Amino acid sequence: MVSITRRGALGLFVAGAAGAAFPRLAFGQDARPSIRIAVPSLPTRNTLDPWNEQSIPGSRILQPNVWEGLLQRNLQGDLEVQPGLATDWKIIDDKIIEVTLRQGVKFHNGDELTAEDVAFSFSRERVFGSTEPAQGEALAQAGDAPKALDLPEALPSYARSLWPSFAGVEVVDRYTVRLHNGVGDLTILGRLAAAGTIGSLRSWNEAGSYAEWARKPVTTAPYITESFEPNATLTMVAFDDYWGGRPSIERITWVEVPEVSGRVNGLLAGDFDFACDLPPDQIKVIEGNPNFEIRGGAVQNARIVIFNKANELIANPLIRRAMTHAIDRQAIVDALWGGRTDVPNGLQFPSFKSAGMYVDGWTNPEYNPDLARSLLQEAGYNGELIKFPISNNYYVNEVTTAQVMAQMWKQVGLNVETPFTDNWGAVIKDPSTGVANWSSGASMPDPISGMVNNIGPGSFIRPEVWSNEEFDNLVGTLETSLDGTERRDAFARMMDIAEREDPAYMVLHRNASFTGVRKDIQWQASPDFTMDFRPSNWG
Amino acid sequence: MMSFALTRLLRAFATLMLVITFAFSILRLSGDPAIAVLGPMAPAAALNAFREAWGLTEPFWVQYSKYVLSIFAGDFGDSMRDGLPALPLVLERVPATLSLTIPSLILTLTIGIPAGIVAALHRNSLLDRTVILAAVAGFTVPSFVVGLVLVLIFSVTLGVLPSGGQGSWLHGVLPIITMSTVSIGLVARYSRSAMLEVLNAPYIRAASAKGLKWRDVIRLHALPNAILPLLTIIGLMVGSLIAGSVVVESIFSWPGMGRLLIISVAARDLAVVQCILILITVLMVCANLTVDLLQAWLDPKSRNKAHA
Repeated sequence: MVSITRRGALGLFVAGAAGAAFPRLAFGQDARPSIRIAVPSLPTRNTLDPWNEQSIPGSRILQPNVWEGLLQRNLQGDLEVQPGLATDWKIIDDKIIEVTLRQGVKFHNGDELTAEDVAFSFSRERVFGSTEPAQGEALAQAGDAPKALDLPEALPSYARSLWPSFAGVEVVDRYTVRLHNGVGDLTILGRLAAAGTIGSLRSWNEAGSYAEWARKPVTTAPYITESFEPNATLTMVAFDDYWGGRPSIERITWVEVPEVSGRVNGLLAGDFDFACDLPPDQIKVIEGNPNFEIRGGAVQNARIVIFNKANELIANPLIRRAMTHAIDRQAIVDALWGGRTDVPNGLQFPSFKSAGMYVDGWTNPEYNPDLARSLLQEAGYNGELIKFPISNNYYVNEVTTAQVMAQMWKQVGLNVETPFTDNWGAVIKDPSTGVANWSSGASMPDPISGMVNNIGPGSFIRPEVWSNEEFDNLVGTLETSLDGTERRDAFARMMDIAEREDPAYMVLHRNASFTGVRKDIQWQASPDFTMDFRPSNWG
Repeated sequence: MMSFALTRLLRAFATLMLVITFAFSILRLSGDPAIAVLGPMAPAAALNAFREAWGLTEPFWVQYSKYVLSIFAGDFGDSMRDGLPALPLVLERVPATLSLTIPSLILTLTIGIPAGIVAALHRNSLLDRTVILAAVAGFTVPSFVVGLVLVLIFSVTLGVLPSGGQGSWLHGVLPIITMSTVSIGLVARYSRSAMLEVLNAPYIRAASAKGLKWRDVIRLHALPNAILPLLTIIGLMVGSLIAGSVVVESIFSWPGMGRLLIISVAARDLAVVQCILILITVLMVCANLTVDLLQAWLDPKSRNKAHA
C-alpha cells in the first residue's frame, strides 16, 4: 500500500521537489534500508582517521563501520578480542607475534588485502613519524617506503602512546606478517584490536595530501565514505564486496545535531532513525512514544573526579580519603541516572575478565560519613574552601552531580564550591583547584589503556596534579611483565594506592550511552560508545 | 567628501585592528588550544607536539605580531582542527548562512515596515494595539523558544516540515521564520515610532493645510522622511547577514557561519575565528559606510552637519 505523509503531500503540492526531504524512506532495488543518525558531533578533527580522531565521536562512527583491524573487539559481548582481518596468530617469542591474514579480503578500490598493506598501516609514514620505540630499536623499512604525506602534528605521539615500543612489521609472505615489539608485551592482542586499523597502501600512495586521504579512506570495512562535510553530515554507502557479508543497510547518513532537543525532536518527527547520546532525563520522553525505545546503557568508561595535589589542602591524603568516604555513589546513580548505570568496583571494567586482569573482590571506599568526619578531624581541616570547577555539562549530568556531591561533602563538614569554567581541562593544573571532573575509559581489556594513560607517567596530569613513586614502579611492571598473575597483582596494588592510600581519583559511576531508536529496527547497542552497523548486527 | 571618506576608512581600519587584537588576546589568554583541540586526556607528548607545531610555545607578542603580519600578507592562517586554510573553510559556510539570512531580511522588511507604518497610521486603534503586542512578543520571546515551539508544532506534531538540518528548501522554512520573528518585531516597532514622529512634524501639518490629499501627504512627505531613521537599523541587519545566528543555526543544526563560530571558539581555533570576525567586521563597516553615505545623500540636513 502506498502511503503519503503529510510532509510529502505538502512538498508535492508546493513544488514536487520534496523527495529530498525524506531520504530515510528511500529504498534501493533490493529494498535495503537507508538510515539517518543524529549525533552530537561528527569527528572533531575533520578527518575519518581513527589515529587522528581520539574522541568519542570518532569511536562511535569509525570502527568497525569505516575501519577494521587485524583483530577486533566483540561489540555484542564484553569487548573481548576476536579475529578480524587476521584469522590466526601465534607467539614466536616475547617480542614477536606472527599473524596470518584472512585471504580474499577486498579493499574499497578492489585491491586484495596483503601483508604490504599491513606493513604500510604500521609504518612511520602512516603513523609513527619520527618517534622512536620506548624500548628496543625500530625495524628497518623493507622495500619501498610509502609516500610521505603531511601527517597531523599530534598523530605520531598518539600512535606512540598506544604502541610505546612497537618496532615494525616484517613481511613473511603475501598473507603473513610478523609484528615486532621492543619489549615483551602481554597486551599486544588488545592493542591490535583497539588500535590496529588497516588501510590500502595504493590509495595512500595515490593521495594528494593526508587530508584528502583521511576524508575518504580506502579500507576493507563494510561502508565506503560517500561524502563528508565536517560539522554537518557524513554519508557512507554499502561496500557489497565486504568479506563479512553484504551490508544490510544501503546508506548511512550521520547528521551532526548538537542540541539534545534537536536530536529528540528529529527522532520523534521521523527525520532520524537513531538519536545518540541522550541524557537520562530524555528517556521518558522517548519511551512515552510507542514507536521508539532507548537502547544502550553502561559503557566501558567511568566518570571519576581527579584530586589535585598541587592544592595545599588536597595534598593531605586524609582530606582526599575523607572525600571518597563522603560520597554515596549509588544514590547518585539512582537519582540522576534512574539506576540505568552502575558503580564499578574501582577503575576496572567487565572486559578485563577476558584478559585475566579483573581484580575480584575489589571494592570502592565505602560510603561512611562518620569515617569521613573523623578523617577530617585527624587532618585538622577547619572549613577551608575547596574549589571544584565544573563545565556546563561537558559530561552528562555534570552540573547536578557536582551539586549533589558538594552537598554530600557539606554533610561531613567539607566546604566545596563549584564555580563554572569553560576551560575545565586546563584548570585542573591550577593550584587553587582542589577537585576536577574527568572520565577514564579502556580501549582494550587491560588497565594499561585506562588507568595508566590517565594518571600514569606521561599523562596530562603529571607531574603537578598527582604522582606516586610506588605507583610508577608498578606501571613499569604492568608494561613489561609477561606474568599474568604478577600483572594483576600489580594492578590491584595500583588501585590500592590511587583509590585508597594516596587517592589520585575517585570513581563515581560508569558512564552510559543512551540511543533513541525506532522500535522496529533490530540492532543492538554495544557496551561501548561504538555503533556497529555490520551485517552481523542488523536484522 | 574626500576627507569624509578618508576619515571613515581610517575608522574602519582601526575597528578591524581592534577586533583582531581583542579576539587574539581573548582566545590565547583564555585557554590552551592544544587542550581544546586534542582534549585534556591527550598524552602529554601529543599536546606538546601540537603546541610546537602551531607556535604556541612562543611568547604572546611574537605570536601576535606573526599573526598580524601574515594577515597583511593575505595569509589568514590554517585551522588548528584539520590544518587546512581557514579562509576557504569560512567562505564555504557563507552560502548556507546567506540562504537563511537573506530570506529572513526580505521577510523582515516586507512585513515589519508595512506593519509599523499601518500601526502608526491607525494609532491607538485595535489594529495598532495588535501590531504592538505581536511586535513586543516577537522580540522578547527568545529565538530558541520560538524555534523549539515551531519544531514541536510543525515537525513533531503535524509532521509537515523537517525538524532541522540542510537539504531541500523545506529545511529552511522553520529557521527563517524563527530568525525573522525577532527582527520583524524590532523593525515594526522602529517603523511605527519613526512614522509617528514624522506625522507629528510641522511640515506634515503644512502639507495638509495646503490642501493635499492625506494619501499624498503620507506618500510624498511622511514616508520618505520616516524611512531615514530606519536606514540605520537596516544597515545593521545587512551588516550582520554573514554572521548568521548562533542560536538558530544550533537549534536547527544548520551548517552555517554561526555554528562554525561556536565550534571554533570552543576549540580556540584562532585562524577560523579571526577569519569570521574579519569578514563580519568588513561587511558591517561597509554597510555602515553605505548607510552614512545614503543618509548624507537623502537627507540634506545631515549633509550640512557633516560640512559644518
